[in-house]
Amino acid sequence: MANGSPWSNLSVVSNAPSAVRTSIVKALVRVRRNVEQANIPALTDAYQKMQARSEPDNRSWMYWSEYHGFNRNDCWHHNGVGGQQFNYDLFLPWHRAYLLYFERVAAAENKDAILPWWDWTSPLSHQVGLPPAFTAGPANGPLRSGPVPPALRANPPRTTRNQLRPSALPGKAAVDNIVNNLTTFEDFSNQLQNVHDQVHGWVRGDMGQIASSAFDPIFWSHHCMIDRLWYLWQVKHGVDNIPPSYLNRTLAPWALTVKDVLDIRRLGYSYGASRVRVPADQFSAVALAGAQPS
Amino acid sequence: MAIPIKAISSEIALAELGGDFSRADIEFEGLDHSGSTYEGRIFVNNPDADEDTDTTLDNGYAGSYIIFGHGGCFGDEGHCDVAPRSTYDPRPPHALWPTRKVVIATDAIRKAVDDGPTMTITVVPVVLSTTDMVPEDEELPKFELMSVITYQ
Repeated sequence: MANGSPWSNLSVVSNAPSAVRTSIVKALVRVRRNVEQANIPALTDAYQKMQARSEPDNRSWMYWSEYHGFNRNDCWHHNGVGGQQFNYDLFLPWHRAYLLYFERVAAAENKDAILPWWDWTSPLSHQVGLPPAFTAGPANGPLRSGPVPPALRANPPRTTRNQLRPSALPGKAAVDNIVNNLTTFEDFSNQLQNVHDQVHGWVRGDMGQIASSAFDPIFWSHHCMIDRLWYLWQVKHGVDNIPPSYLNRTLAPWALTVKDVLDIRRLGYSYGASRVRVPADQFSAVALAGAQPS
Repeated sequence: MAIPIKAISSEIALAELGGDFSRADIEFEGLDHSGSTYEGRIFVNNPDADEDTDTTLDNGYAGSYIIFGHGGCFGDEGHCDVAPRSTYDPRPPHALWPTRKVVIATDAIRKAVDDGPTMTITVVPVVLSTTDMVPEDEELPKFELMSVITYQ
């Protein structure tokens, strides 16, 4: 085709202003990956910086860990349903919100830091236990341990672990059964929380108690796995599969309600196994035969 | 250090459960979770079970619940006293409000029904993690009610 013909400048790129196009192309959906495929250097860098900050600094490791157990006790564990005064179970939505805030704080330290999930059902985990990235290096490495506030205890000043044998971690068949076959939210949440409790009790050390667990770096990847399993359950049984009475409950201290955290796409992250992005300007536009001038 | 206590139920008549069910749960209400983290192993018709008993159906093992404990009290006196909230109190429940655990125990209950006419439920606690803040005389497990529920 000769230059100047109506067919010489075909393009599938939209006519939107460049600022709009750029924001669409660069819109960041953070993909949380298996710890074995995650960007560990970025995560390490972010955790290192957070852990170096002092306890009162609201960007610090200790500041954010303290929301969970010692000393703010905001987490939702064991506050369940069933004829009790508080007839709802916010274990899953509360921790989803908590991870979201924490991940944003980490990303402010290193924009490529994204929470990875630790699949404790994987063959590797059942061989070696904790992910190698979280056991390598010195004892005060930012993935091996985290600082604890002096008011919790003076010594040791960082978290410790005392894990059981790898084969005692939850099995894939049992977890698959929970995800695939339990169809109501409260039934699913109750059983998944039990598996969650099992892993805390498996790691032992500081992970073994609510008070100190969030100071251990593996806490976040453990809960990322729990969040992922809820997501997989939602894919199978419905994103909004939750009692309607839950929807407007607030997830204090987070400025979010249960309804706000149901759809992770609206929270800007996913658990997609892989993703390839191809902007429109990398497409060739070819006129169809029927559209060619005769 | 905790004092694990094996909890053995009285004889439970199985006639009310019937044999036609697709799922059977053993539920615990009012479980305390203020102290140590422990596994509560549930055995049906095996009051002699202890922490060394193999967790097999032949031994009556029905499943486990896990209590992720708070690890003791880190506050001043009264910090861990649990009380109901008043009607106009907007705060979330006290973090130590007793919990509920459900153990899906279909195979073990079905075996008990087949063996009939009664059964016992035994809870064997296995401590997984504890702290210096847990009272030395902590007794495990602590709960208010156990139920066996079947679903058709």
